[in-house]
Amino acid sequence: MTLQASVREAMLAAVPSLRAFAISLSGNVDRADDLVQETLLRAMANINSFQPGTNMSAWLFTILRNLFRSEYRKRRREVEDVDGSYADSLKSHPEQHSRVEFEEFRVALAKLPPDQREALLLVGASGFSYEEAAAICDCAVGTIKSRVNRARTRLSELLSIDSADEFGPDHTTRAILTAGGRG
Amino acid sequence: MQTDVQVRKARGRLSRHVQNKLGETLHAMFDEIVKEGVPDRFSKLLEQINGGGGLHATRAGELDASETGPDSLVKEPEDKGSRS
Repeated sequence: MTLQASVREAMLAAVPSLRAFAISLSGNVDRADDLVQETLLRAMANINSFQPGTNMSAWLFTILRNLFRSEYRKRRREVEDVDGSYADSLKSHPEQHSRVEFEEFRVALAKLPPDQREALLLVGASGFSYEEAAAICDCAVGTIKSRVNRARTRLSELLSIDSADEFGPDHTTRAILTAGGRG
Repeated sequence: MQTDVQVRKARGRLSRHVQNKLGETLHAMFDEIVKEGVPDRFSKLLEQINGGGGLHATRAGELDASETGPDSLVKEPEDKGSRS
């Protein structure tokens, strides 16, 4: 056996959120799944550099983020696919959020500079601390904080979120979401 | 009369309300993907590599050999030079 069962389990456990990160980052499911696959292959090839007891998820996110960055530099001139491949591929969507709402959000997300997008996704969705996100992105904690702030400000402008009722679920579904959500 | 938005813009910061709304949507979008779990493609990939006949079989053989201490087998002639 080349991969300890515990290591393998930790990798498997990280895949769903790793994939969510990759899809949200790249805006394209096929590209994202290729990124996840490449990440797992690299992780397994370099498993000796993983320190047991440290955060497997953070390690995998770091690999994926670096892969995405190097790929992004190559593809910078290509037109991003923001027209529905992501939404179409979703198997289901919660009743609380309409497809239109997610689609608007995703298009707005794709308009953010990559450094802001990744910072927001790491801190705002993947559950990493500012410190962990800074380690993943190899930058200062203050840099992550300002990127997250700028990302939020830009998103709110793009989505025109100004009042309590303009965007998102009503108060009842919001309460349900909050009760059942992560965190 | 000053609304939350005006306060936010004056300070250059987002109101708590707007932050919460963004966070909720982000989480909901993220969770929707997380709920899809691990696609077969990835569980098979890890299974394959885990199963001895996988990509690193050769390396595994080497590691196993080193663990069982091949030195004693390979370097037996050294006994001649032993000072015991």
